[in-house]
Amino acid sequence: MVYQVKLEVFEGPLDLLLKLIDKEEVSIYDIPISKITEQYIDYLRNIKESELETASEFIVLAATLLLVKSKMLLPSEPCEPSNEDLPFEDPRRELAERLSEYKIYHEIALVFKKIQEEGKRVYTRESGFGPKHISKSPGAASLKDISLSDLVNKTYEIWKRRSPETVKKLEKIQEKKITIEEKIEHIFKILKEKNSAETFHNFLSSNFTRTELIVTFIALLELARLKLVSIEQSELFKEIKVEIQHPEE
Amino acid sequence: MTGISKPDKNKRAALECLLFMSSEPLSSKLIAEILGLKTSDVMALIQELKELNNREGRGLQVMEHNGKYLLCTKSEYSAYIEKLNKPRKETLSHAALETLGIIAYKQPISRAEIEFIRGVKIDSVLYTLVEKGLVKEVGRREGPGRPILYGTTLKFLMLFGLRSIEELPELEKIKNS
Repeated sequence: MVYQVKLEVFEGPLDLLLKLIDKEEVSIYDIPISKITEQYIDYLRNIKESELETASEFIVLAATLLLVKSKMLLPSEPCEPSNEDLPFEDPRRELAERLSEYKIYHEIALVFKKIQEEGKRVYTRESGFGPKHISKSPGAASLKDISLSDLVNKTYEIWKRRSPETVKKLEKIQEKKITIEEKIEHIFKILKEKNSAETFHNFLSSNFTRTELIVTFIALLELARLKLVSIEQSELFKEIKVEIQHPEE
Repeated sequence: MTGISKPDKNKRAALECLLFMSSEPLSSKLIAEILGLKTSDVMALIQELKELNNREGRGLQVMEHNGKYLLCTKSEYSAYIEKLNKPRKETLSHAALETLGIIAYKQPISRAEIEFIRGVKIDSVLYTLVEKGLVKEVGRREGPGRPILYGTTLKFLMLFGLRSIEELPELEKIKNS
């Protein structure tokens, strides 16, 4: 028995990093890089191998973190007096800027969510009347201003308009199932009624589905195996005759 | 607004009729053609109509999308409309909202740029947003690979109760909150 531990779900590597930083209660511009990197990599270890695709995104950021960490370890060159205008480049800066941008959208998502929950929507007239519906030359619809997504959306609208009955019909195509037993009974019945040999050809019909053809064939083989019918072919490519085999006495 | 001359008033009424009837946003150029006015006059009339509709006791307001106009209901009355015609519930995941937010504020934007900001692949999220009609292809960027650019749709404005994209909450305010 394998126990699965459900980890907290993160929207992505940046989301995870933000949460780690939040927990440490530090500014994103002043990340304790070594500590955060360690925690981040700890989390990575718990990602299951089966989620490799997700993991790869997390690994990219782990590499970035390690790079930043290694840069932090290297002594920075003392600034030459002539270079005084050049600010000391913090290796963490680029990452911090990315994080701060991500953070904005992370929060916007929350704002959007709130707006949605408030349900303050505006409505416009349903489709049907507008400049696109005024045909300039009768009979010829202009495709000029119609994009692929317009077509997709229209098709989807029509698709949604299906009546419930049509949906029922469409969603469940009843497959006619024929079992080998049924087919055996059926063949046996025909042979009994005819009381003489019947050609193999007559058991098949052109409107049979592929499955039905196969089932018929197997049913005949089964009947032959049980020695209930005899199958005879007088010559190559001649009609195959099927007949009830009367028990030999 | 007593200064409006009579013919202008009539044209403004006609403008209101056009915006009311159309289910798709109308360009000021097309309105100008229909009303026999200059585009700048149409813009002035639209501004007047906006102010008129902003008054209390009005249910409709002018909505703007990509420089085109139409009438929409005011967001404070959405509950009544939803009693008349129940909307499909649009629930969006946090990932979808994040992506939508990036597109809304940075449009037109390519998929790769969104992915850089979010740090994850967004294929399926983007597909969902396009399918829901909140986002659509708005063109291609000239340059290597000519990437597809995405922007928000009229439906996006409707869902978030915005009269135009300018009504999005200010980024600065969100940053400081």
